[in-house]
Amino acid sequence: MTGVDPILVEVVRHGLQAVAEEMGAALARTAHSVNIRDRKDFSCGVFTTDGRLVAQAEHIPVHLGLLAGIVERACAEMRSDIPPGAMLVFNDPWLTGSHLPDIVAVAPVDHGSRRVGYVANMAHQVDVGGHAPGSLSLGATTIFHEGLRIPPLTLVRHGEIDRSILRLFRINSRTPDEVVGDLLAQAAAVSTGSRRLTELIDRIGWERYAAAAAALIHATARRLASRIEELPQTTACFADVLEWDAQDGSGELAIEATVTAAGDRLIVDFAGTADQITGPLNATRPLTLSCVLYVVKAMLDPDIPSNAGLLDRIDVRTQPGTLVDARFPAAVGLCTSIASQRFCDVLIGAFNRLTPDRAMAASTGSMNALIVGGVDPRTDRQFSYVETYGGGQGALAALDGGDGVHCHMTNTANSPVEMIERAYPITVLRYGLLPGTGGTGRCRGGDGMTRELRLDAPATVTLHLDRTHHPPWGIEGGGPGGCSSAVAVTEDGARELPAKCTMDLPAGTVVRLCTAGGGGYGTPPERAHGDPDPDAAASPAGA
Amino acid sequence: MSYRIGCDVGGTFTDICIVEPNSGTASVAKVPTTSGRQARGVLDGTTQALLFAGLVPNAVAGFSHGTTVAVNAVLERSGAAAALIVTRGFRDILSIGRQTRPHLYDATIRRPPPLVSPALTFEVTERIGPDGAVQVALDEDEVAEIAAALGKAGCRSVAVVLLHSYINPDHERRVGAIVAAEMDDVDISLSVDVLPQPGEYERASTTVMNAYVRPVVRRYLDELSSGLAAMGIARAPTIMQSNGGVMTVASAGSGRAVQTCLSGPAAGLIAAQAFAKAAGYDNVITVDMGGTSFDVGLVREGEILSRFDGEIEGLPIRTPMFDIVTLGAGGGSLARVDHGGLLKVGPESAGSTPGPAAYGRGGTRPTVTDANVVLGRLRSGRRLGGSIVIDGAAAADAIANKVGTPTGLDVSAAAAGVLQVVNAAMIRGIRRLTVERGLDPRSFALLAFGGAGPLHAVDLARELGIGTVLVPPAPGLLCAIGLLLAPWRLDLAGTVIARLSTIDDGSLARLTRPLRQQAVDQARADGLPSERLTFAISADLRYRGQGDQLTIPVDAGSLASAAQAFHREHHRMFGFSRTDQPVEITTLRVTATAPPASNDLPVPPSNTNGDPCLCTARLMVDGAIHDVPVLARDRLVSGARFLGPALIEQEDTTVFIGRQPVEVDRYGTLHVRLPP
Repeated sequence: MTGVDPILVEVVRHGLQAVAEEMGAALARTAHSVNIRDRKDFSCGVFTTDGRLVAQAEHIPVHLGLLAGIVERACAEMRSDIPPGAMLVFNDPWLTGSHLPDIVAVAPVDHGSRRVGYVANMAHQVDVGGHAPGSLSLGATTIFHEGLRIPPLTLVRHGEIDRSILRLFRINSRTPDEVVGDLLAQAAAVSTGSRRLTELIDRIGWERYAAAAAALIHATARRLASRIEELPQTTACFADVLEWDAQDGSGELAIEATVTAAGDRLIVDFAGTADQITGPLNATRPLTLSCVLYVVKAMLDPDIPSNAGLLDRIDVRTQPGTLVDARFPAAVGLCTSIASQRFCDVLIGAFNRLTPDRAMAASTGSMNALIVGGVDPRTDRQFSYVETYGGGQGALAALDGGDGVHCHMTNTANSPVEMIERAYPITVLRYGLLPGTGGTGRCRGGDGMTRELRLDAPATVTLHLDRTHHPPWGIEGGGPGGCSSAVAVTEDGARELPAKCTMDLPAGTVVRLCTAGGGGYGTPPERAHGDPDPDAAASPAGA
Repeated sequence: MSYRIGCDVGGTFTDICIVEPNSGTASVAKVPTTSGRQARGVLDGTTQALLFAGLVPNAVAGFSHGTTVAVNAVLERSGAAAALIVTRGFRDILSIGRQTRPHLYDATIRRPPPLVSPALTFEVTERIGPDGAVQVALDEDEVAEIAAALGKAGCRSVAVVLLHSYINPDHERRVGAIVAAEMDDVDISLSVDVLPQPGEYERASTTVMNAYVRPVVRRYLDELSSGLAAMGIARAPTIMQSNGGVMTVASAGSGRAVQTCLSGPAAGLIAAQAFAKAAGYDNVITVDMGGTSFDVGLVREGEILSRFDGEIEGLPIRTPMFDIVTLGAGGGSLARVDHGGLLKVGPESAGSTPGPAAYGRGGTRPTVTDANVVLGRLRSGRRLGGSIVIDGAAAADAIANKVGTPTGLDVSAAAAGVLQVVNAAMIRGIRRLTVERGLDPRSFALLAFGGAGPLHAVDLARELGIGTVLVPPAPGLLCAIGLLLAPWRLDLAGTVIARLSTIDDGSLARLTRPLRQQAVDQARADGLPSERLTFAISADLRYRGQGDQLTIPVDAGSLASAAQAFHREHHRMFGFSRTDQPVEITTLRVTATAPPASNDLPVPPSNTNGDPCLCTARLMVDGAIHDVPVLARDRLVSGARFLGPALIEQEDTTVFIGRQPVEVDRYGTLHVRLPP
């Protein structure tokens, strides 16, 4: 950092963070969908002139690594830089790293004739077409089944919105008003970010700003390097499985990661991971990168500023054509909700051996997504309810896992019961924790949770569950968490639903979803007969 | 003579301000806060203050009080063993919350445990739908059984939160009635009374907090009222709420107990608003900086910016309150250089022990206060409250060792850096309250209070392009003064979800009538003639499909202008409006206020004898050392003008003035002018 004032750098960091936060505030407050405005399923980033992420307002970790390379990938695809006054939108998973509903808006920021950076946001839209409501359905074997895929399109040219692009989104969506409303909110947020970045640079001065932004990225790299240097110089490997079978869900797909600390660098190699499949469980490489950055932050330095510097000391090795680096035209609908969580599990499993004092048992292991779509008889309009459910958090050496909480790659808030019932033809019958589903241990895993919904109109239901047969593991002698499950109850009785499915269910069906608990930590203490069980006293089961 | 007392309990001190209404002269007393025995401390302090002022208690005609009893009960988890009754199927409503974790990357940081234990949470069979229709009848026998069990368990406070009660409260009221009939001496908090709005978790959290603090608040207020009466102060105290108004002891000890939880900063803002107005400013950013935190508030066009949601340690609370952004930045915030070589300041604080290195109580880690000492803004050798004497050498050592050495800066540059970084954090907070709402900070004045605010105000204003800094006469006593200026206030809200175009002015009047009547009834119960009430009506509006709403005043009871005002406000805040989209109303709000006994600002005790210049000091201004005068605040008379740089010292704060002209207005407020 020679020659750069460390105080200016921190002052600029606050300024950039404010730019990202103001962008996020604008997006959340103007968006139309519950998904963006209440669940905050989006992120905003600020970039340097060479397209490196320098600040981010984060709501969900899965976006961290995705935004990091977004400008670079978009420009490479366009084979040119973005012209002044333009704003691009796209959702191609090989550019975004995510699934199709995650739409990116990105624009350059120009100050007079000088390019001073870029701003971008990524937001989960309710529906972009495809097989079933929510655009994340099972049954897709290639990306073509999953909905509208768009390369970088110029939504805004010379400051004017191109209405034909809005119409393209509109006619491809089951929820056209929400998609257009959200797209406009994304565009407005980008404009806000662009204005704020210009103002910041005006206050600081261009030369000083540019030097400070570069130094900020360098400081994160250096801070991470010092953490890596503290690790034992060794290699740790861990493997786990994703549950998949096109027929009955009983198959297994291997996910494996080897983490090596070598001086001030980390090498993460996914050799041993299964080949990509003809189903929507694949991930493109940026998503895998995102999981690596999340686990590195969580295990080494949770407060390190999120910017491109995180990437500088980490080599991520993936084999094209595998689940962690799927090639076109793979389907990717469940890459965030399921695959990303298992990538985290194996990475944490490996890190547990490098950083035993921070070791953590496996958490619920999936975002436990439920999508319900159809026509609301009260309004005759299409609806699409998208939600992910928390589960049990893995135990730590000195702390029980949290109950009914979102873990690892997501942190979206739930939809209030009263809001669900007002907005959709759905009645919520039960929403609660599942006592005893956390793994046993010196510290117990967190409990999973359950929600029972009655469909008050015929609906198409999509489920993304995993860990239905392979429970979240405990560590150091701790027990596994309980498995997840889904059941449909109709007049004909109850039947187990496949963990990953899209199916039409009649009105009156009650869908009961149960999420997995977290693994425990350490051998459970021996209890003399008659001693109160401290877990029972602490858990809601005690009531 | 009828004196009035404002008594504000803070974390460290209890401030008491006595005003003589005719002359407006004030006398003040500061006594240590007695935690755990707050009533005793307040009563002793009041006795002392009256003695000091040479007054007898029966000369006191009003006692306005800000208390921390409720918020302390939540923070210390020392509230009542309250129970919660919910709709069958939803017993874990508090444990699950919004299912989020507080920190994205740090798995050791957890949601706070609920205020009601799972063992005291009960489900009843009943169900009301989103349209208000009864889907499942209430099982009254179950309720009676629960009440019997609660009675046996010795529970004395019960919260009832049933789904969709904001649209049909029948089941909730019936549960309340059965519990009241079955149990003796029980407090019942119904969610429809506390917060009749959709969003079951936040409604439950607020209602439960009310049930949790209510017995504690009532016990405290009973002790205080009888203590004051025994002293000879006959008039019952009035109690500050988070919305900036006062209420009676009876209200504070019942369904509105939760409204005292976040009342702490409200009185300060009321006084800040009044001093700003007296100084001629309607648009003011207020900054209150103490030892550990920095609070930013906003007065826009004479009104204090409000909101309807907040939280205490992660527990949501939805009551009307002033919109305040709080940051962990204060005089005690610690500075350090991180692994990446960047200078970080806060949010970790040196607290009161050991405190800043300059306090000489064993602290060696540098704080913001130490940086102010190194730069000469706090004079070495100056005596602060109590036994603390500022130790300049200790401050310089701490800054040099922990900031200077790792960054390669000399001690002055390192100290200046600490201030720049903490100011950058505070500016981010100020921008959050202004720029994120489409407001330009340059069109505001900056009013600084709290022990450390006036040290940083000029720098903050300069960075933000603000033209005027105001420092009221007693920056450490604003809360006590604000209590005397606070109106009687009641906020009421009703859920109305409909297209705005379907509601005409006649139906608006019909919808607001019950809320107005409720306010009139409350005023009557409080012994307040209804003709003293002023009503303000506002509506929460949004575009159909949006989640967030904007609260828009409904002037003269007409909705047509409200829609136009909504489009304008939306455009101002977000840069666009959608006049093509239908506007929905979600909530109607009625605010009833009655003015305080006097709106006059107290006149500060001043000492016109003697030269205001105490001495000179060596002060770093714009990167160079200057010998500057140190002025005594209480000797600066109204109308005085001078040019900085200077330090102005008073018992509760120090004001840093750069090269700016300053004048003192007739209320004793300093006006510092910054060139554009």
